[in-house]
Amino acid sequence: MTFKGIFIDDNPTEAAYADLLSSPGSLHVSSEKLQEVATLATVIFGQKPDLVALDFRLDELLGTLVSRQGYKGSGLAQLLRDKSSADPASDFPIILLSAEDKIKGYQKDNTAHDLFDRYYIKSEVNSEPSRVQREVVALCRGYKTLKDNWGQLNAGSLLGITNDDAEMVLSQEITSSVYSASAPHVVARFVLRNLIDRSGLLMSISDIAALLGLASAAEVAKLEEHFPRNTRYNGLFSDGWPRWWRHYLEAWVEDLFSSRPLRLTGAERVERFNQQLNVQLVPAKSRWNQSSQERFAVACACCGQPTELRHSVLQFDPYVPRFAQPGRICWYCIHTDAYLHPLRSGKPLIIDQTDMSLAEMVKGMECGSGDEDEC
Amino acid sequence: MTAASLTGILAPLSRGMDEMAGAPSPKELIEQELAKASPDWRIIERLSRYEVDAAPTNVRFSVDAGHIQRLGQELVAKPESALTELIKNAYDADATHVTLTFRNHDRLHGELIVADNGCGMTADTIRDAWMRISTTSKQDQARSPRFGRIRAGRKGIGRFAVQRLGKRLLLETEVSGTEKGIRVSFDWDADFRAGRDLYDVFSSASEYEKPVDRSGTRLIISDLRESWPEQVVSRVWKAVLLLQPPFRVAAIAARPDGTIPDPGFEVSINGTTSRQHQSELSLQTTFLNHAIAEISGAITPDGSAWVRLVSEKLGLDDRHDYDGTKFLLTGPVTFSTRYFVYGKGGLSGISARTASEIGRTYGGIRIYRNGFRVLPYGEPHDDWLRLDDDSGRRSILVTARNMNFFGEVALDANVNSALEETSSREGLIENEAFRELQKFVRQGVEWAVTRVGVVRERKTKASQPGFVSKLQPQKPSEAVRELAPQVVAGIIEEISDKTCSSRDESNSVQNSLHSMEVIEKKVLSFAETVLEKSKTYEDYIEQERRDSIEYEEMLRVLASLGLSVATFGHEISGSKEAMIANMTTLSQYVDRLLTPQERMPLQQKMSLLQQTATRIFHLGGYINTLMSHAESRELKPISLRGAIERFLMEFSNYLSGQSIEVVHNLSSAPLRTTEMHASELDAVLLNFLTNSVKSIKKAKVSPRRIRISTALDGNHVLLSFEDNGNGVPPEIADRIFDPFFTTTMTGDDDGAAGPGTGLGLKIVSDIACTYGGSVILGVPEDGYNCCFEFRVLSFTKRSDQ
Repeated sequence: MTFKGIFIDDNPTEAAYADLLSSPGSLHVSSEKLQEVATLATVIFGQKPDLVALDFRLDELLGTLVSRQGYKGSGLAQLLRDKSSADPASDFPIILLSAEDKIKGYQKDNTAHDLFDRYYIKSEVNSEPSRVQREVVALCRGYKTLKDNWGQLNAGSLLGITNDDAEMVLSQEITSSVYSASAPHVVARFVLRNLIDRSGLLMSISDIAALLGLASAAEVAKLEEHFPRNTRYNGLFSDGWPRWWRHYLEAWVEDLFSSRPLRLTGAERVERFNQQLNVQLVPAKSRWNQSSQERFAVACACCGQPTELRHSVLQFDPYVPRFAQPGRICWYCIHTDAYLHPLRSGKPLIIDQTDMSLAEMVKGMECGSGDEDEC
Repeated sequence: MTAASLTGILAPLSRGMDEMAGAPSPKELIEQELAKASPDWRIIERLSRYEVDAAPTNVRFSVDAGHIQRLGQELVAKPESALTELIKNAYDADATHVTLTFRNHDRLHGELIVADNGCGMTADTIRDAWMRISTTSKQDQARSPRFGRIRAGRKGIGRFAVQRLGKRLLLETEVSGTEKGIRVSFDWDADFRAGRDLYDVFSSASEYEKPVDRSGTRLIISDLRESWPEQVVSRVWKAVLLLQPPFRVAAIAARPDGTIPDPGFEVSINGTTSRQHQSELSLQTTFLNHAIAEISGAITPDGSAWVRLVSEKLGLDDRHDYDGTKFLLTGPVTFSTRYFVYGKGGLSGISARTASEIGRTYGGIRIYRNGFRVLPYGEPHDDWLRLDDDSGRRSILVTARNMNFFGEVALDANVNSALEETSSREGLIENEAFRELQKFVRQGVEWAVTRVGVVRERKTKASQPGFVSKLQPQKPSEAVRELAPQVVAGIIEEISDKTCSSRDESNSVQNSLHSMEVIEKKVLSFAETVLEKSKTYEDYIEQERRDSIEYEEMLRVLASLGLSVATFGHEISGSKEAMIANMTTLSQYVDRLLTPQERMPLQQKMSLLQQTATRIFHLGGYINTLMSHAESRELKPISLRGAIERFLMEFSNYLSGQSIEVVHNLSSAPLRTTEMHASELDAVLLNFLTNSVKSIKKAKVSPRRIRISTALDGNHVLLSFEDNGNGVPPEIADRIFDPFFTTTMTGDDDGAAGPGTGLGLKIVSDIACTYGGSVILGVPEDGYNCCFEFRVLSFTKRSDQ
């Protein structure tokens, strides 16, 4: 099946993005001309698309519109969400596709954040088209699953878990969010924001590298064949964002090491892997002191590298659910102010109040020092 | 016998002999008095004098007691002159310390105690010298007995000075080697009245117990005739400044011939006003604290050495290690010195002339061994560090003569055994250890003054041709403030001198005319000086105004250029992604063509198109990055490491495109700049980068290399930017920070490096200055040909301040 996508941009030269988003045999995206916002919303909805991609600023080249008719992508998205809330069976993912400076405007506009499933910077689409294509197709597939099962959603089935795992995974926060959702896009938002994007029940490859004390994602790939059978997440949006179940991984490592992984240093973990699984892995190095003799625990929320608890500070996140892990920022990113300029989002990370004084101290410390404060 | 009974006996004499009919004659009175068991010698002396004066064949002068009052008033016109004389008397008495203590000095009837530890006076000295008017005792002894000081006091003025200051005096004086001191009290107004014969005024004297080895004189002057406001006390202080070397008073070992070198003289003035306001004047507060910098250094027991430069005025706290040099012969040594530059306005409260005179008289770096001064080091004629010699030959151009230093080297005979004194005690044996000591102190001092010179934007070496000093001339108002009191004082002195010396009517007119001429000359000279200074200052301001206009024009040009560039960058950046998207899809269509004959030429053209577009994208991306950094107007401390890493990441594509390898050696120390704009640090890095790229291209070197390193340098963070390009030719090294100076007038074909505007390094220099730092050409490491050292204040140090 080929999904149908619509791309709206006020600049006709940008129409090439419709092609770049398209995946032959999976998704065909076409451009739609700018019209008066309500009219365009009706036109789009009437075409029953599987994906809508919007530029954020649709009011720069108005074409046939007069200036008072100018609107932003968020205005159009709101009308589309209203329509899909009234008709959940016709719901579809909406993504934002804009230039970097326009994305900054979106980031500042908090009211627009819930309207879009994902946002992409145009340069990102240019540099990594296949990843973006894979993700948008995954959105289309996920929404199709939701719409196909709308009215009889089963949280366990959505997340691809067995009955044995349900008790451990399906907390009330998850089930109530899924069963009380008014439209598929509400469920999609919950899964994307709280399960896919956050480290907790599911782990990204960076999180796994930290848990296993490995230097990089490539090292993790060398081990994947040894992971237990059900470790890979195959639920909603899994084909767009590869994730693994934490509880399977932790149990496997504990069984292998006869110890909780966090009790061992990165070097010790790798040594055991190498010995027991006959592999040649490279251990992670702390960005703070360049040592592998650290107890790596999480991927830094800023640089994504494995970091140890004692050389990281807590990230402020008021919306973190109980089943997720709060983010941590490594001392190196604090020391160099990198947390104020995180790589992708560009939006400064905020340090949790409890660790603010520690962060200030780290800024004044010599890089690599402070080991005497081991905790 | 009391004074009253004495007066009773002598009363008839004072009424004249005509009234003495029937009364005993003076001769009879003398006989009566001599017949007593305890004759009153004062009566006998006075009666004898009467008899002598009555002789018709002789006449002689007599002195009225009121004359003392008149001498006090007329010889010492101003109270501060009187006090200055007392301090000078203490100096002449070989004192090393004199303390002036005022009580309630801000109003009338206060008290002043002048206490010194000089040689004191015996009873004979009091009688024959102190209480003898117009004695020549001081003139006969041009130098003081113990330390051989040249007499500073005016002849015989001191005793009248005390009368000038207060109504009563209690003089206490002690001589070493005796068990008793002498105390004499004077009541000037009650006893020294007009109409009395000076011979008839007796002041009571007594003795008191004292430690045998103590000596000195205390003048307790009570019922002060005038109040002593702070400014008058300050004037006294300034008048005696030159008597005091700005060093601690320290003993000096006696010479083999038994003479004792002068350990120095120190004055302190303490005062408590009626409102309990404390005032304290010492050389520390009035002179030494105004040094532009303090330099200290040490050789550690392992032979390594360091020197530290601290200057509150310049915001410096730098340390320099003598890397690679070991001082193994001297043993542990420390030195410290204050560094003075006698410019206008540099020393608050002291004129530059006075300060430089202090410098000439006492300046130098002295050597002390076990706390004793070793001569001749630090004496005016001595140049053991060759500072005067090298300054004279202009191999050092920053101010660094002996007169600019007040310092000392501390030696300990136990640990500096190789530094021995000569048998004549005229210095240290000039062996290898001594030469090592010279090298250590000289290098430390030279490093420090050069550093000060750099910060003060003074030419530091002869190898800086075309350097233009940025010293500001003296403001006319400052000149008037400085010169006017001198002129007024000169005029007053002229008038009072003439008034005192001319009792004769005919001379008086002549003297007045002469005075008028002198005063006229003084006033005209003053006016000319002020006029000249005004002109210099106006020229300076005019030049500054022209520079400022030029700079403003430059800023306007830059601002409009910046706007155009920003728009250009934005447009390129906006078009870039669409171009890439279109080229990518076009490539995809081309790739789908069936035959290679159709596909290959199109693929080649696509490749060329992409290469050309990439250059434009680099440029657009670079401008956009700059603009995004410039968006932040927030002043904040910036992590040097973080800023450099981000900068290199942003320019990684550009640098790899230019095949430039960047090596960085970033300190692990928490190097944060003082609060500044992030975009300014980016601008600094960008300017260095574009200069390096241009230089490397010209040099046609391979591999192309840039090295960035950071370090903490005193209270500054230091960023060194090096490249292996052509380097900066010495003949233009002193001009590269000037506005509009450029060596690349033609357009470069590289987008980011661009053509030279001659503004880049000027902007870098301005940024450094704004944040308390500097930018200089440093010494490149091996393998590099150019090194820029950029310094700004570090955040931590500034917070500490």
